[in-house]
Amino acid sequence: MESVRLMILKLVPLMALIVALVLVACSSAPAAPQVIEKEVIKEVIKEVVKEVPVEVPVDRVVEKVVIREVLIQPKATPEPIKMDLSKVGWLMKASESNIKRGGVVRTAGPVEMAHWDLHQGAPAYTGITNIYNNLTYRNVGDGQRDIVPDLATSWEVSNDGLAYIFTLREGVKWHDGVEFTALDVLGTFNRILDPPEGVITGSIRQSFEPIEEVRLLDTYKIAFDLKRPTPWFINVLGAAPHFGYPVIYPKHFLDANDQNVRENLSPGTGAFVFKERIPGEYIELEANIDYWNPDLPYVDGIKAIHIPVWANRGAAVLTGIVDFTWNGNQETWNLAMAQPDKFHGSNPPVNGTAPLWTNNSRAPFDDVRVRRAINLGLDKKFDLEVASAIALPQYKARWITRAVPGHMTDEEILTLPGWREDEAGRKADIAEAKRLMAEAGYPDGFHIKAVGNNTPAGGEVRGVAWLQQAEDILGITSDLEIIERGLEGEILVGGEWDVAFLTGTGSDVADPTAQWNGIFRCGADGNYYKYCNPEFDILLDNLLVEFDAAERVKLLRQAMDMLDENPPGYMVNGQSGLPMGGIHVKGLRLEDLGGYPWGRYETVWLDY
Amino acid sequence: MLFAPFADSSLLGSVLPAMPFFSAYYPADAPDGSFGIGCHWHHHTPPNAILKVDSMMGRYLMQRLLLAIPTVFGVTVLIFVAMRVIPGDPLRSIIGEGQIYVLTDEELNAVKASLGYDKPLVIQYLVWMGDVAKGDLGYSFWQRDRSIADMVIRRGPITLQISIMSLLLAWLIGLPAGIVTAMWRNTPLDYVVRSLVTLLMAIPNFWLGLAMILVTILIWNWRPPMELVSLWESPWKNLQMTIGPAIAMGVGFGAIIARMIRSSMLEVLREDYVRTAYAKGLPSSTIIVRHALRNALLPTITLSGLYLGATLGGAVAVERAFSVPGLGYSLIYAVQARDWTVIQSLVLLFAVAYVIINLVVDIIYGFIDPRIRY
Repeated sequence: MESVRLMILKLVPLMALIVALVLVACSSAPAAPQVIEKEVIKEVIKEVVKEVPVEVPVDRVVEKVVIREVLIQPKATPEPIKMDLSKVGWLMKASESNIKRGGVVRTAGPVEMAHWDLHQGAPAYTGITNIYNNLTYRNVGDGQRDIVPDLATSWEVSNDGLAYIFTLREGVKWHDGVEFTALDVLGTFNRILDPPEGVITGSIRQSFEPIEEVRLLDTYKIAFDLKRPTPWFINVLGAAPHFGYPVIYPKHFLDANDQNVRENLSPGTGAFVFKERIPGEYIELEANIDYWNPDLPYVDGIKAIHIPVWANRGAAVLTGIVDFTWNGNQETWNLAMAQPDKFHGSNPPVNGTAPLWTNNSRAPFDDVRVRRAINLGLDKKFDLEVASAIALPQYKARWITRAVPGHMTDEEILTLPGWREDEAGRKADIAEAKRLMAEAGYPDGFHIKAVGNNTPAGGEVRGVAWLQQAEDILGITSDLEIIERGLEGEILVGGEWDVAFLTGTGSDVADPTAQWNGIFRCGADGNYYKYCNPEFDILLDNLLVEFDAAERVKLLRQAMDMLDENPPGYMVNGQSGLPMGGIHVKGLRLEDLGGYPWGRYETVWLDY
Repeated sequence: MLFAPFADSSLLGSVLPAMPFFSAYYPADAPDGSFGIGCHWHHHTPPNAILKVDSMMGRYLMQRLLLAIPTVFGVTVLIFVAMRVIPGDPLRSIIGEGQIYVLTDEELNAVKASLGYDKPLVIQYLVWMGDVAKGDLGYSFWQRDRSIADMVIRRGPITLQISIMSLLLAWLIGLPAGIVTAMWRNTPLDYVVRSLVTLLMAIPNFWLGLAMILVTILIWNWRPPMELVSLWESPWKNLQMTIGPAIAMGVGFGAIIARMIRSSMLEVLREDYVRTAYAKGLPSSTIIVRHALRNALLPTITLSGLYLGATLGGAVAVERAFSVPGLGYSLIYAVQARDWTVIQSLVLLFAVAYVIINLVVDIIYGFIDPRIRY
C-alpha cells in the first residue's frame, strides 16, 4: 500500500507536466478554421505600343531599328509544321533487328510518390508512365528523337496553325477492358484546363495554355483549337517531363473518382499493367498482353526499384543488381563508361534551364543594374564546378539548353561579358559589375535575405558557395534560411526573400518558349521573379507563333541578348542527365539518347 | 515459479554448466558447498525463499509496467504536440509535390477536413490513441495505399535483425578485446588493441558502411542487395543484405564495449575478494571469467540495452548508406516529408521498445548480480 502511495506521489509531477504541455498546445491551436474575407484589388495592365524617338550612337540605331521591326511586325501567316505522312498509324518499335523476348527489366530510381495523379505532379520517374499513352510521344526506340503517333494515329493542322485535328486509334482498350474513344481525350484535357475544385493541375496547365477549346468531332476524332499558332504544340503533347506528364486518362475512371486520380491508380492503355507497389521499395509492372501495338512489349515485366541516392543507382548498374537507370552519378557513370564492353550510356541535356531566382519586386534586385552586376561579376566557372560536383553534370547555358537549335557553343559563350574566364576578361567584368552597383547606389554592396532548399544543389552547398563569392566579389552579405522542398511554393509566393536557391523549373520540351511564357512573362502564374520586361513579352509573342526554324534561331538569339541586358535572375547552367545500363539492355539507344527521358521504355529488350 | 530453478544451485549447476555468468552458483568453487559472488558467500537457498523471490519479482515487474504507462503516454503527447507546432504543413507539401503551387486556405481546409485534421487537437489525439489501442497505426499521408502497421511488420524485422546482429558482433569484438587489454595492461598488446579500439570509435558508422560498399564494388564488383529479403525467403541473400550494416554498426559499439569492460575489469581486479581468490590458488582464468568479469559486465549490459533501443529506432545513416529499407529509413523519410502519422506511430513503437528493453536489462541484472533484489 505504502509503495503504491509512493508511486502515485512520484507520478503526480510528471502528470502535471504533461497536462501543462497539452494545455499549451491546445491554447495555441485554433479549434476550427476561421473564414477571413478580404477585398482584393486587381490591377489590369494594358499594353500600349509607342514609338519614342531616342538619341543613340549611329551603330546602335541600326541595331535597334532591326529589333523593333521584328518586334512590332510579327508574322501574320505562320506556316505550321505538317505531319510527316509516312508516320501515319506508325507503331513504336526498337531499332535493332535481332530482338529477343522475355525477362523482367530492373531499373533503379526514386520510386516514392505521394499519389498517383500524373497531371497533379506525381513524378514520372517512378516508371508508372509505362502504364499509359499520350496522344503523341517521342520515339523511344530511336533514343527519344522524333515525335511519333501514340494514341493518335495522325493529325492535321490548319494553315493558320490554330486548329489541330487528331485521328485516334481504334480498337484500343483500357486495362479494365473499356474501349478508348475521343471522349477520354476530351475528358483528360478538360480536366487539365479547367480542373474542378480539389484538383490542381498548375504546372501541366501552363504547358497547354495555348489551347482555347477541345472539341469532339466523332468517336475517334478530336480537335484542339488554339489561341495562337504554337510551334511546339505537337511536341508538348508527347512530352516526358519529371512532373506534369500529359497522359490520357479514361473518362469513366475520372467520372467515378470526382476527376481525382490521386488516391486510386487509374487504368491505362499502355504496354504495361500495374502489378504491385511496396512504398519505398519498388513498383512492379507486367506486360499488357492485349496492348494495341502487337509487337510490344518485348519484356515480361518491369521492376522499378527505389534507390534514392544517385551513387547507389549507378552502383546497382555496375554490380548487376539492376539493368539500367536513367540517372546515375558522375563517378559511377564514369566507371561504367570506362568499360564499354559491359556498359553503355550517354549524357543528354535536360530540358529547361534553372536560373537562380531573384526577387525583382523589391530592392535591390528591382534595379536592372544590380541584376546585370551579379551576372557580370560573379564567377560562373566556379558556380558551374560547384553545381556539377553535387548534382547532375552542368554545362554553360546562355538562357537556353544545348537541346535547342540556336544554342551557343561553349567557345561562343566564353567570349561574352560575364562568361569570360581569362584574367583580363574577369577583371573587366568585375570592374563593370562594381561600376553598375555604384551607379545603382550600392558602391559597398548590400545585405540580402536568401532562402535555399535543404538539398546540396539548393541552399546547402550551391547556395552557400554562391553567397560566399557574392560577398567576396561584390560585397553582398546575406542571411541564408534553409527550408524544406515542400515549402518552396509558400516561400516563393510569400515574396519575403531576395534570392532563392530552389528547385528549378523545367520545361516539357526542349524549346524554352513555353517555359519562358510561364516564368518570364509579365504577370505570368509562374513568374515568381516578378520580372517584367514588356519588350521581352513582345519578343515572346513572336516566338510563340514563329514556325520557321531559321527565324526561331534569330529570335532566340535576340531573346538571349535581351535577357543579358535585363536579366530576370542569375543564369549560368543547363544540366545533362547520366543514363547508364548494362550492354545487354537494348531497344532504347541508351548510348545515344537524343533527349532526357524520364518516361516510358516499352521498346526495351534484354539481350542475354 | 518461473525463477525457481535459478534459486537451486545444484539444478542450475547441472543445467547451465557452460555459462560463466552463473557459475558463481557452481558448487565446485568452494569445498564446503557454499558459493560466492562479490563479497557475499551464500549457502544453499532454503525452499521457502523461492516463493519470496517470485512475489518480489512479480511486484517489481508490475511496478515497472505501471511506471511505463505514463512514460509512454508522455512520449505520445510530446511527439503529437511537436508535430503540430513545428512550422510547415505536410498537406501543402503533398499537394504541391511536383509543382510550385500554394494551396488556398479553402483548399487546405478541405483537405484537412477530409483527413480529420480540422478537429480540436485533443480529439485528434484521443482518436489516434483509440486507434492505437485497437492496433490500428493509421496510414501515411504520402502513401495511403499501405498501412503503417504493414510497413512496420515488413520493415521492422530487418531493422531488428540488423540491430541484434550488430550487438552480437559488438560483444564478439568488445568482450575479448576488453579482457585482453585489462589482463595485459600496459603491454604492447594493450597499446595496439586500445589504438585500434580508439580508431573504431572515431570512425562514423555510415562512413565505414560507404567505404565497405566502395571496396566491394571496386575490387569484387559486388554490392549488397538493395531489395528487402527476409531470412525465411532467402537466408543467403538476407545475410548479404544485413551483414554489412551489422558490421558497420557493430564495430563501433564493440570498441565502446572493449573500453568499458577494460575499465570495469581494472576496477574489479583491485577488489579484495579477487586478491583472496588468487590467494586461494584459483587459476587466473577462473578468477577473471567467473568472478571479475561478472561484476565488470553490469555497466556494459546497461549500455547494450540502450544501444539496442537506439538501433531499433533506426540506424538511419547506415540504412541509407546500404539502401536497406528498414524502419530507420522510413523514419527519416517521414521526417523530411513531415508525415505526422508515420512519425507518431514509429516514435511510439520505439518508446515502447525502449521501455521493454530497459525492463529486460534490469531483470538480467538481477540474475547476474544476486545482490540486486527487487
